[in-house]
Amino acid sequence: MQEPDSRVHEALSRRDLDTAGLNPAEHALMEFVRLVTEHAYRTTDADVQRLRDHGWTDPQIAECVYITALFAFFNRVADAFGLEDPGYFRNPPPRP
Amino acid sequence: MARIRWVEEAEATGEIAAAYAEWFAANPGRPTIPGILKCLSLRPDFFRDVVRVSDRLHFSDGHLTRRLKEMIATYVSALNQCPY
Repeated sequence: MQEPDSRVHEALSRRDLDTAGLNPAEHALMEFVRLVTEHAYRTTDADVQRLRDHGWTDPQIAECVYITALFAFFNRVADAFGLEDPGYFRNPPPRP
Repeated sequence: MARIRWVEEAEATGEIAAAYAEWFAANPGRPTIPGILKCLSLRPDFFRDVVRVSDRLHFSDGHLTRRLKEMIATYVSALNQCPY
């Protein structure tokens, strides 16, 4: 997986949007990614409109949903099969 | 080996051997098939579909840049507590 700049990657791998150096539009998009990942059923028109207000187009918003869902697929397959950590994350996400 | 059977490169025959060969041809310099893809090896047809979807959707600029898609992938994986 191609690494985005490591500071951004590091912060995102710690689920920390605030130190990832994101601009407001990227920050809003990542909040939407979290919503779709954790409670997609709670997505509202306002959530999508907020992204448009940040300048995201509907094709971009749609693609963001596809990527978010695609990696949910990969995550679940990898965990169900029991793939060991390939070391993408310097400190892997906690697994409570 | 994962906890669910998959096909190792050396034991691949028939359809999955062909699919692995295509992947190696498209990814010169990569010594092995990524584990996440080998998870799909019991359905060679689906293996090919997922490779195609990944290439088309993720590993290319689309409406979003590849950088942003990598960021989304990293964040989603962290949210899902999945290091993969």
